[in-house]
Amino acid sequence: MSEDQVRMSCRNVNVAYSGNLAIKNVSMDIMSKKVTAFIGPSGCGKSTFLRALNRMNDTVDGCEVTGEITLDGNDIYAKDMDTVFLRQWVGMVFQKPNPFPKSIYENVAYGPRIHGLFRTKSELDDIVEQSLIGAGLWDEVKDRLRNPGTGLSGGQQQRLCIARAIAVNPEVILMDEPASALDPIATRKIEELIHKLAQNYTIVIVTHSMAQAQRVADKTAFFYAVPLTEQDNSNLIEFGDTKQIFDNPVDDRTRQYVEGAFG
Amino acid sequence: MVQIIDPKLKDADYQRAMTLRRRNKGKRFQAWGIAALAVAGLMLAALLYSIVSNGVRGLMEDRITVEVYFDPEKIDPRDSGDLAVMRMFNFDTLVYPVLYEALDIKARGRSDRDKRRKVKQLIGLGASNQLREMIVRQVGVDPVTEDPILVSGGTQLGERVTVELTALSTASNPYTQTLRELGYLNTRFNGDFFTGVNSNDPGYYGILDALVGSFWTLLVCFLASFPVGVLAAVYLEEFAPRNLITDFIEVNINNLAAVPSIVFGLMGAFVFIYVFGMPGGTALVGGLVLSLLTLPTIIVAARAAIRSVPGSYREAALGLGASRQQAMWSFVLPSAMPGIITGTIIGLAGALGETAPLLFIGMVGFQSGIPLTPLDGTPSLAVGVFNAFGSQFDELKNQLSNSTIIVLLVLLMLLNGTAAYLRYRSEKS
Repeated sequence: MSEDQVRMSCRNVNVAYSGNLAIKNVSMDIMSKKVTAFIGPSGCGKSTFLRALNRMNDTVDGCEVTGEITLDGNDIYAKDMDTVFLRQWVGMVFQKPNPFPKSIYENVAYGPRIHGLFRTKSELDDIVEQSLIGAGLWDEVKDRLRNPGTGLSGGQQQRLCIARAIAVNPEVILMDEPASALDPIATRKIEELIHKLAQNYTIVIVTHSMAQAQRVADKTAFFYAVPLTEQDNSNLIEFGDTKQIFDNPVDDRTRQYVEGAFG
Repeated sequence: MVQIIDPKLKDADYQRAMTLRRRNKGKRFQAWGIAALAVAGLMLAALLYSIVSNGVRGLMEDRITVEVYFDPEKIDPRDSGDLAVMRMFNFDTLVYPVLYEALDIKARGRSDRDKRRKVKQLIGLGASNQLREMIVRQVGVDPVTEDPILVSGGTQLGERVTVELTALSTASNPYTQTLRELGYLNTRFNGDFFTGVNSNDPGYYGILDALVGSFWTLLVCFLASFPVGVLAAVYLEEFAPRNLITDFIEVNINNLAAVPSIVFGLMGAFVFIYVFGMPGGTALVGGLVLSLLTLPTIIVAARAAIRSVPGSYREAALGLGASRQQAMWSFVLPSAMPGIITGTIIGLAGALGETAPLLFIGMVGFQSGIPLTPLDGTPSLAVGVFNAFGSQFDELKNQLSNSTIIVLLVLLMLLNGTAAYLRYRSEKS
C-alpha cells in the first residue's frame, strides 16, 4: 500500500440536527496510515464530523447527513451499507474511558464475539493477547484478565478501550478527545500509543490540545464557525500538514486559534 | 448595590433579636416535624402491638389432656358392633364428665347448668371428630350405594386412652386457671398452625395450604408479568419511536397502576373464568389476575432501571459494530437487572398482600387440602387472614387471623429486605 493513499474521502458533507446545520460543506481526504487531527473551539462541529465518519450519528434522532463519505471508494451512506460492518472497519474510542462492566478479557473479546472473528477458544485468546499488546496494556494486565475492566486506572481503561477497538481489526480508528479525561502521564502513554498504531491503522483524532495535535498528527484540520451563517462557505477553515497549519497558517482565524488568541 | 438605610438594621441588639427569632422559628418547625413523626410512629406501634399480642397467642395453643373411657354402653348401647351406629355418637360427651369431676361440678341438675356450659365451651367440634376417628374412620364412599365406607380407627370400645384435645377460648374461660393447676390443661407451640390446612374449627386451623397457594399464585404471577413487563419496558425505552401512540401507552401504563385491585378481580373473574373457562379459585387464575397488578409496577421500574444505565455502554457497543439489540442484551439489560428485579420483588410483595381480587375469583373458603399444582383450588395467605377470621368474632379465630398476618408480614419483610439488599449491592458496585 502506497504511503499517501486516500482511505476516506469526504465531499461536500453537511450534518444537520433537526434542520440546524452543525457541519457545512466539508470536503477532505483522510490518508491511509496517517494521523489526522481535528482541532477547533468547542461547538465547531469537529466531534459531529468525526461521528459522521462511522455513522454514530445514526442513533441520534433528527440527525441528517448529506454529501458523500467514502471508505476505500465505497459510499458509507449507501442504502446497502450495513452499519455493523462499517463500524467494524471504522472503530471508535470515546472521550471518557467506557469499558464494559465485564472482565478485561471479555471487554476485548466482545467485538470478535459479535462479529464471529474466531473459530476456537485459543484463537480468541490470541486475538485478546495481540490486541492488548497492541494497546500497550498486556504487561500490566496479563495476570488479571478475569478482573473487571472498570477496576483499572483511567489511562489503563482508555488503553483497554483502544485494545477493544483494534480487536475487530478495523481500517480506521476514530478517537474523540481520547486523553482529555486523563492525567499528563497517562496522556503521554496514549500519545505514544497513537504513534505506534499509525503504523497499522488510519487514525482520526479530535483534540482540544494544540500541543497534542502537534505531537501526534501528520495532518490537521481546523474547524470553526459558530454560529454558522449563510455567508460561511464551510466550517472547515483549513486542512493541511500539521507543521504548515501551526507554523504557517493561511487563514487568519487559524493563526489566531493556534496562537491561543481565542478558543 | 443596595444601600442599607435604616440604622436600626446595623444595631447589634436588633441583629441579636432577629437571630433569636430565626432560630426559634427553626426549632418550632423541627418540633412540628417530630410531633408528626411521633403520631405516625404511635399508630404503627398500636397496629403492631395489636397484631403481635393477638398473633403470638394464636401461635400458642392450649391443650386439655384427659383420660377418655370409650364407654360401650354409651357408644353402642345395643352391642350391635355396627360402625355406622358408633359413628353417630357425640364423642365429646365422653370428655365432659371427667372435667366435671375434676372441677367439682355436678353432672346433672339445674344448679350447675351454667358451669357445665362454660366447661363445654372449652371443647370444640374438632375434639368430637378427633375422638370419633379413634373408633371409626371414613375412607371413602361406595360408588353404587353412596354409603360411606367405614373402617375401625384402631381403638376398641371399653379402652381407656389418654388424649390431648385443643382447648378453645381459654383466655376468657373461668376454669382455665383451675384446670391448668390440676394438670389437665397445658400450653404449647401450635404446630398445627404451620402443618394444618384451612378449617372451620379454629382448634385445627392451619396455613400450610394458604402458604403453598400463595407460592403457586406468586409463581404464576411472576412468570406472567416478568417477561411481559421487561420486554414492554425494553421496547418502550430502547426501540419505540417517540410519538403520540407511545405517549398514550405510557400514560395508560401509569393509569393502570392506579386502578383499584378489585376492578382487576372482577375483570379476571369474567375474562379468565367465564370467557376462557379456567378453573375458578385456582392459583393459575389468581396469579394471572395479580400479574395485571404487578405489570405496571414492573414496567415502570424496569424503564427507570434501563434509563439509568450509562449511555456509554450502549455507545461503546455500537462503536464496535454491535447492533442495537446486541447492545441491549449484552450490556443494557444486565446492567439494569438489579433495578428490574428490585421493582419486580416490590410488585410481587404487593401481590402477596392482595385480597380483594382473589375473593372475586373464588379463592376463598377452600378446605380441600394442600394444592399440589396451580390448578387446584386454594386460598392465598392474605385470603387466609380472612378465612381464619370467619364470619363472626371469636377469640381464637381473631388470634389465628393475627397469627396469619404475622406470617404474611414476615414474608413481606423478607421480600422487601431482599429488594433492599439487591439495591444496596448494585449501588455499591
